[in-house]
Amino acid sequence: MNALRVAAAVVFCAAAVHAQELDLFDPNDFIDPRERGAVFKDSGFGTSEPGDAFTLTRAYAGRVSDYQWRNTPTNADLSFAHLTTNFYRGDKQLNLKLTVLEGNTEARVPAYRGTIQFGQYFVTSERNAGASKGDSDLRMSGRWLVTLAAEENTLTPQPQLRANAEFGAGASSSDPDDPTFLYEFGFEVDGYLRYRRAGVVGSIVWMRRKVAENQVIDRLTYVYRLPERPVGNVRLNASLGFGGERNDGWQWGATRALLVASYDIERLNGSVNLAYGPTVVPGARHRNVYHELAVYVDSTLLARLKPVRR
Amino acid sequence: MTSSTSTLRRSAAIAIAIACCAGANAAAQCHSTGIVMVKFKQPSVKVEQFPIRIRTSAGDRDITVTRDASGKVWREDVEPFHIASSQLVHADVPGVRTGCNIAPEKDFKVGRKCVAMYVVDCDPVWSMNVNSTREGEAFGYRLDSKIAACEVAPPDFQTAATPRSILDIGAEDKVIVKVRRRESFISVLVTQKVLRTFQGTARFSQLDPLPTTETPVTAYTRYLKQAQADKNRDLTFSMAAGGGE
Repeated sequence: MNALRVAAAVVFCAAAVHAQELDLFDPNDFIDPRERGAVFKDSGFGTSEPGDAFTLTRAYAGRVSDYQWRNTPTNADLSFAHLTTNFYRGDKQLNLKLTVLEGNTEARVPAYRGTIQFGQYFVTSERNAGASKGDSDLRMSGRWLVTLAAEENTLTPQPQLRANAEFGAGASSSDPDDPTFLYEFGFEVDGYLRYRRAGVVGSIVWMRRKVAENQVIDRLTYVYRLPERPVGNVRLNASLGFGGERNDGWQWGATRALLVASYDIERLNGSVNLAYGPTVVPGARHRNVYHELAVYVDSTLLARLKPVRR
Repeated sequence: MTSSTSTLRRSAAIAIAIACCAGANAAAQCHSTGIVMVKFKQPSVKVEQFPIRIRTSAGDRDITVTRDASGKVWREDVEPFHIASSQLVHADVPGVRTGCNIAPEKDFKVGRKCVAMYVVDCDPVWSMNVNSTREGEAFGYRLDSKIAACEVAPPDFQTAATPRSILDIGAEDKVIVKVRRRESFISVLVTQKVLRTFQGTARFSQLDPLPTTETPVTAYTRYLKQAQADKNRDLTFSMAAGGGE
């Protein structure tokens, strides 16, 4: 039985990747509720003690080259700003995010994107999860997360591009049926699996994007996170993602690594970050390898703890 | 041609002589000696003299060893004792943690004389003051020591309260400090090197959080831990002068 649980957990975490699909400037917001003092029920689902409520607002701003939008290389150099607020209470989590991207006019990326996410955490039974001497060394905590995102529709030719388009007269005028926003809906499972001294964090993300009436694109991503490593005053984070996209049929093999070096600046209440995200896209028409690079600062605008008593 | 042949012969003769001497030397085992020598693996000890205790088959002896002309070895002449059964129980070097219960090097000689040579691990010690705005703030700490000195506390968390000085921390030691916040523990890693990067004084919330037994430290967990430390009370760690209990 124990071996079965280990195997199931390994398979689960083997399927894990990054929650936010590896945007260079959107770090993992996974916080085990036990870190806030929450106590899970014996079943591992639901809490008997909610712990402290925690609200965190963070801002990110910087410059990125060769931006990777979702699973699509854009060849665009952009400036970006990203504001995120996370509410953690009991075993629940609510995220609100706003992203603004500004690039050259040829950049077919949305100028803005809003995201709302709701998640719930769970753990393996407390006896094994919290005990230092249990009958099992396997410890696991996880989270499911539902995402709804809306962003500017860039699949519709933009006015200045339409004028030069060779689609014929019909395409050169704005189609009133073109939606202003495109919506995405997704589901994600994050897991942290610890076996003896080894641990792995990851996520499986499925996202569905409606691009036209009766036309959807599915993305499935799977990401491993390596543990953070401090090197002197610099913190290093690395992730590795693998995914596929289904339009007419599934196309697999897109692989993406993410390396972020962060240097904390107390006055900023945040850090300066240098991020590198090489991406391999098999079967691409022009090139297969993209080198996304970003420099950005982040800052904590609000970090508030509030005791919650039942 | 003649010259090179004679050089070759001379080299061969020297090689044979060295081999014979080495063989004879190895054959002559050291059983007892009246010379005690101590050498440190790390070159951080500068004192002229320090006391040691050696355990021999005839009982324990307290000896003071003195630095020799090379500056790298401390020695003393004593009543002869059986080398193999001896042990350096401990060395009392000011400001330095040393290894203990060290067996002598086997068949060690200086010239033709047998010597009881003890090679000792060492680590300079320092002390750390732990304070907080609220006196009596409880915390736990544990030393992960590089050198297994006998007097070092067992690797379990010891409970303490502020203000508190933690003494005799090895320069290479890791100090894990944890505080309890309701049902949760927050741990940080403090080392002498880390404190130096903060000019000798650091707050709990400035230090990197360590993963607890069941949770990874993700970027966001860091912000939570910082908020937890800031909100309630924030321990302060500062380097003090080198220790000694």
